[in-house]
Amino acid sequence: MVTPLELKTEHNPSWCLGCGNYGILNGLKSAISQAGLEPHLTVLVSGIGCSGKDPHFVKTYGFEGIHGRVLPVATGIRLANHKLKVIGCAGDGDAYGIGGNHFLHTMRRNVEITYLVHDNQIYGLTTGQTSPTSVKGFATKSTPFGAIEEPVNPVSLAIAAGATFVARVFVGEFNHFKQVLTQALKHKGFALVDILQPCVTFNHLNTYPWFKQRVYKLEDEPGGHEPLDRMKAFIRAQEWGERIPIGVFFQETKPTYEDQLPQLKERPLAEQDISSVDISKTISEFI
Amino acid sequence: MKQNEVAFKIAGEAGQGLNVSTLNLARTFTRKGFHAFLLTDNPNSIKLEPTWCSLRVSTSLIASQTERIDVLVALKTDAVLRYQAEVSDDGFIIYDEDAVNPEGEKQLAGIKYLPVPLSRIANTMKAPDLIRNTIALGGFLALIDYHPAGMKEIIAEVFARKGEAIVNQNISALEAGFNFVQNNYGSFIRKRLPEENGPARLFLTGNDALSLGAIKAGCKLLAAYPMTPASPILHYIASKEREYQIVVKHTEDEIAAMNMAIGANFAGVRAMTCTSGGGFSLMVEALGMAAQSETPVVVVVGQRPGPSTGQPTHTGQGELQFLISASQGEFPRIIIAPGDATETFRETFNAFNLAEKFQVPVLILTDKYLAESYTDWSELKDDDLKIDRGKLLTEAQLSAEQNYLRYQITSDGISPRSIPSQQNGIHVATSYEHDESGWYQEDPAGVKKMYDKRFAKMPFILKEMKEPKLYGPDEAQITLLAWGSTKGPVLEALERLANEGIAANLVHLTYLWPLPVEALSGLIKNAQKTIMIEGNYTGQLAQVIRQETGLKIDHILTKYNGQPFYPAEICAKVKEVL
Repeated sequence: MVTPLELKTEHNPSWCLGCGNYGILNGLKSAISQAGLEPHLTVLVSGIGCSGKDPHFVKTYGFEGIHGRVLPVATGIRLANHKLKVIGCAGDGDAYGIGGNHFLHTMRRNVEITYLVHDNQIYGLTTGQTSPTSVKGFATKSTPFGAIEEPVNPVSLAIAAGATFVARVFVGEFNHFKQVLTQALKHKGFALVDILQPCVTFNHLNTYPWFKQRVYKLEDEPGGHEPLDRMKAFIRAQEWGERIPIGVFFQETKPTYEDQLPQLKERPLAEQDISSVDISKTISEFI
Repeated sequence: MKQNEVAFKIAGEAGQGLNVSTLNLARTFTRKGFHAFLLTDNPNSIKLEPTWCSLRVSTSLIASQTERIDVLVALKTDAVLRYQAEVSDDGFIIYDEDAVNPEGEKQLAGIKYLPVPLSRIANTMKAPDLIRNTIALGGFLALIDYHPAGMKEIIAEVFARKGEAIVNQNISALEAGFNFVQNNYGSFIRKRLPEENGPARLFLTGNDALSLGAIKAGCKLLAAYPMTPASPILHYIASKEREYQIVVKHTEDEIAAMNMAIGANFAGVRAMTCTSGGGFSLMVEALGMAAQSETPVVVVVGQRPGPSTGQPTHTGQGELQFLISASQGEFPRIIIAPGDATETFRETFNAFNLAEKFQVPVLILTDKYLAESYTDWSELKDDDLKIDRGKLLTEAQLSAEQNYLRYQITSDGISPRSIPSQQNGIHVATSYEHDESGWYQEDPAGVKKMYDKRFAKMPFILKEMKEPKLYGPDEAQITLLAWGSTKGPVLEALERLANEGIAANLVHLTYLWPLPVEALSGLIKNAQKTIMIEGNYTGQLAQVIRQETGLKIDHILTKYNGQPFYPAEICAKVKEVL
């Protein structure tokens, strides 16, 4: 099994001191190790933003694409070779803003992708603008008089859209985060992990102490939480404010998109021989 | 009326099944070895809007539609009024006397107006209105004295899945129309075509040829969003996805389609997307990503007139300059515009080779006219098509690598490529400027090096750009230039001009970018007089040629009304400038 240390690359991140991304990166390497993934059979796909740099710091295959398009690239990779574990790394702007359409449709397709959304409720790399998850009234350079819109609720959105694994974690609860992430990597289907992660430079509202005071683990609630129950998960997902639930809200077993393609039964597309495709039978249909 | 050739047109409204009926008629002839060209004219509507379908059948090779119709079938009054001017002086108009009333309208001298009670025959048979086509086609076959047996066979095949009753009903309808014309218009019946003209020929559209080329090339994933005129590629390959082990994904939008195709290519399979100009607009950002990450990808752009939604179901050649410059930044790309179905098949196959060989985006530029018109082939020639995956490393080659660099600087600019699942080839492919390993590059000298590396491919790409092809005599009074689908009408025009004693030739370009400058310059310099024929307003290829060669094309004939060129208008323009 690959160790987190073996997953380290020659490059070091240059995120701001205290950035949640450091914790996410460490957690990701641990979870890859824990889940028993092999580096050459793992692909990290990212978009643009501070989170987009992740693939450079994990010694697996990586594709650093463009803003908002993590999921279609990841889907293409997964359809081309379903022996690969495909992990998407995006920010809240990337995933829920510009990439919103892909988010919706990839969930209902249930392509096996583990989607790590680095949710810091702000645009960091573009130096601080309101994001789709910024709270109403949030004042930034792009909304100096406060955001008028209600924020996106990624967890309830994912449950409604048919995601088969929906979790929220807080990077400050490191062990819990690692454990949920490992679970997500083992899930056979689309897994959303919305990661609450303070942006220490631009978001002065949703800070470490702010989260520390509010987050609680679903499983710690009296009676616990049953992730197989979609309606209960949906009700829990509405909670945001004085108390913020973290953990696995919802999980179900369903065939993945790739499972339902007979073309992939024998071997992945990438392993199919294309050296001499015979179309003579087909051509006769044009007579 | 020409000997050994018949031009037919059926006009009515959308939803009347004109295209299907005409296709059945066409196959009646191509199965007997005739050459044929079928042109559709689909309105932007599923029902009611006026539309037509035309078919030209000949004993010899034909490259395009013609402007003169020998027999027009009119299912509506306005079909007579719209198209009677196209009918030859000794031609015929078969019309539904129960639905069409050309009486009192201006009738053209020479043309025979032949009323046939199509609706009444349909009613007597208790058949739906749609069957009027079949009755009329029976009448047409009688008029040209061609045996209906072949058409009956086709009807039996095409309607087999609808059951015996429908098959029999349609065969009866064909016979009823045939008999009516035989019994009532016997004096007009004249044999136009021999009963047979050789072995059965294949009959297919540019889109069919393109799909076959992609399948033959080992395309394993097609991600696309429906858009006319490229949707039939999506439909056809989807119908074959299980047979050929291809994954076809109708995506949420064109952005996803393009990114998915790139992701699949990155993971080591040949993948493509197909769309039209509007969808391609959405793909443009990812086109640059393919270029910067040096991921191969094939994109089909079927042109239709723009801007914006423009004329969704019609044709044009307005996207050449858009494709040449699409996406921010500069990067090598290849643009291929096949001229006919044969070129479409072969060059689509080649596009996949070129994409992998040079690790660049390859854009196949077609248009509605090429994509949806049917032409005939004697046979499929594909023995010589060989897959070339370029510098794709094997596991064994990779195991020898100490420090694999995905973007290694090489003399031809092409870096050896690994794909996920290979043990020793781990790397990050990236949309950022990068160094040889894929890590961020902001050092000015390093940035320049990588830019130079990508452009180092250009001379090698140019070597593989097929030179423009010269058709017609080497020495000519005038040289016509054309690209893509305009080839057919120009070839027909050359023949007509030759018959009138005018020596004209054609320089046809299939490989448009990078422009094969050397060969093209030679051809233009050798020409006495040049004229560019292209389906846009601004003369886009003429501009590109001037930009790249410094040579000015003397004259230009443009067309931008949604219709393809007709040979007659090309001949007229040539005579005007001579």
